[in-house]
Amino acid sequence: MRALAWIWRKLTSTRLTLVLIAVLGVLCVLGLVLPQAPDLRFGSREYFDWVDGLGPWAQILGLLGFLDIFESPWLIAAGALLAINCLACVVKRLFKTRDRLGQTLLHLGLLVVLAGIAVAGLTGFQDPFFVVSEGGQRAVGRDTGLDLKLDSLHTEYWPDGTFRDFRSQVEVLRDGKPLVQGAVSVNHPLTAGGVRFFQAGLGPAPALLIKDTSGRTLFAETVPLTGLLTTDGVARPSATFRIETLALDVHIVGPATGPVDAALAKDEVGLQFIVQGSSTSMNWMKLKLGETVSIADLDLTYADSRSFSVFRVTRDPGRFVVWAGCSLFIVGLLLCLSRPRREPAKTVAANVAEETGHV
Amino acid sequence: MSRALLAAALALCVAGLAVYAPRRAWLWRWARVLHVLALTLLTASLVLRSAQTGQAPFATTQEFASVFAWGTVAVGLGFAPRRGRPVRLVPALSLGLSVLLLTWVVIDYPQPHELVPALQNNPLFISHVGTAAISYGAFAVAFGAALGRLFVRNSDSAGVSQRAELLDSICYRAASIGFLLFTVTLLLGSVWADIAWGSFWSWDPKETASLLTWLVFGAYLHSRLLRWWTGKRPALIVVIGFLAVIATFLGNFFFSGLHAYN
Repeated sequence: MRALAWIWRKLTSTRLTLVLIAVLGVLCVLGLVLPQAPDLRFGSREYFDWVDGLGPWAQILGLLGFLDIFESPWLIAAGALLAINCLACVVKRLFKTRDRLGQTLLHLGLLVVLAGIAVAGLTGFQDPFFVVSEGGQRAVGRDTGLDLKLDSLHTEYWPDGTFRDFRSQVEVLRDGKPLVQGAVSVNHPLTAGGVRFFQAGLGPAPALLIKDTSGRTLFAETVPLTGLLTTDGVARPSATFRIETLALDVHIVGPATGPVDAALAKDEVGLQFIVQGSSTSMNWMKLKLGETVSIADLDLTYADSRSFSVFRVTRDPGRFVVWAGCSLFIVGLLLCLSRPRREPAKTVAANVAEETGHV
Repeated sequence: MSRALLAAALALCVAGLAVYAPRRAWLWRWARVLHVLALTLLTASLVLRSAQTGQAPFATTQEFASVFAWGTVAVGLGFAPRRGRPVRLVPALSLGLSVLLLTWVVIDYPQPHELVPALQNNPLFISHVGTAAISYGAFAVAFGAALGRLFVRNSDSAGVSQRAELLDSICYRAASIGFLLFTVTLLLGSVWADIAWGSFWSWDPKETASLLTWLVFGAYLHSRLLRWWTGKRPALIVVIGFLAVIATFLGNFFFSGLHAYN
């Protein structure tokens, strides 16, 4: 019984709150100064491959989870402990006078926010880089039964050449049947079937046609140039695709965005063939839009200049729980701060000094 | 014209600081007048800038710095008493910080900048960034009071004790205002992130630095409940919190992320 009372005292103590806040603060600082794994699950093979790529200094830090700190056990444990501390304080205050209503609502609100985050983490999903080419269609997956079809992409520019707006005209299908049609642009997502689609980016997607000398089509696809290849200080959109029947990998680059590209015109792409599993590669060659070039028993055609859209696809059932928690928090905070602060006699003298004295 | 107004406001802030410096109580009333004039010119500059660009003056770091200065001057003025002798330390420090910010902006005055698509949401753009600027100003005032509290020597004399209590009281009130507004800032930012990016929190460096700031000032407000945590220790937390504010404000220069709009 004494042990339980001791545990309860510790769980409801403000000192524990301060310690946990300090721990969360340190984790935030570590997350700011150390490189963090980009969208890789902590502990996965891809995560450790990325850590290996950083250098020998990163091994211990990566193993301890400091290089994916926002999804690490440290943050989850500190957050969970803070939630328990918060819940214990709420329960303790429920039996006090209604003078404590503000504090109760505030801490309850925080708990509801954490609960919403947990719900989202356990039942929702996010795909931050969902790429669809113009005229193409792609399954969303994750048991949604949804497909996203990109009909067209429209861009507008300011006079200084920066983006003013870009929006995608899309169709969402469920089990092959049209569900919703509409436009997706930044700040204007589309919702369909409980899933939200956000416009996140765009880029070039040349359509290529590769035939052998007998006219048989070996490759006929739109290739979204989602990568970036930097040569001689010039960054160009790029991608790699494979022609399985010929055991060939093909690197493709488009012209650099922004300033004029000295090597590639706006209607050109660069191609390089590499034999799979070897370091043998051919020289880079240029292909102009609408042109067919014959090389090594292949006919290559740059058939069409299209674009691709990058969408951020999310399903977040915890959203409204989080907003409800935030509302409770704000109401509680307002109530707390609107109460006259109880001041000891010493501080009353200080208030007199404020009116008549100086600092 | 708005740059000229900013420069004039800067000059008034410097003059106000100079008038606060001497231990002549009759001068400090004039310091308050200069403080009010500086705020007026700053307001006019920001309104003119908005009229020239057709958008709120939040699109670049320098524009935000001028609004940060406005928030600091405004909240600092709010902690000068309306009658009697002024409390000179806190409003003086608020003017001092504004001098630093305005000097940078006047020297490196930004050209009008078109908004990238992600920023084209006027209600949230104005409310999120506006509350951030005013909360930074409140935190700056709390920082000024905390600094003053740290330099008050430990003494049994009634005068020193009153001075310490007074600074402590100003620090708490300014930090409370700042914490409330900053919570609203984070909330509005989360709403906007949910609309624009589909995720109300992405651990973007600016978001993380903002959370750090919020945690530190939350720790300060909690520390006020501890009977044994008195004296200069709470003031130290506020100083750390203000360093977090500066890291949040300048973070875009060091970290890339969603707030960098590359």
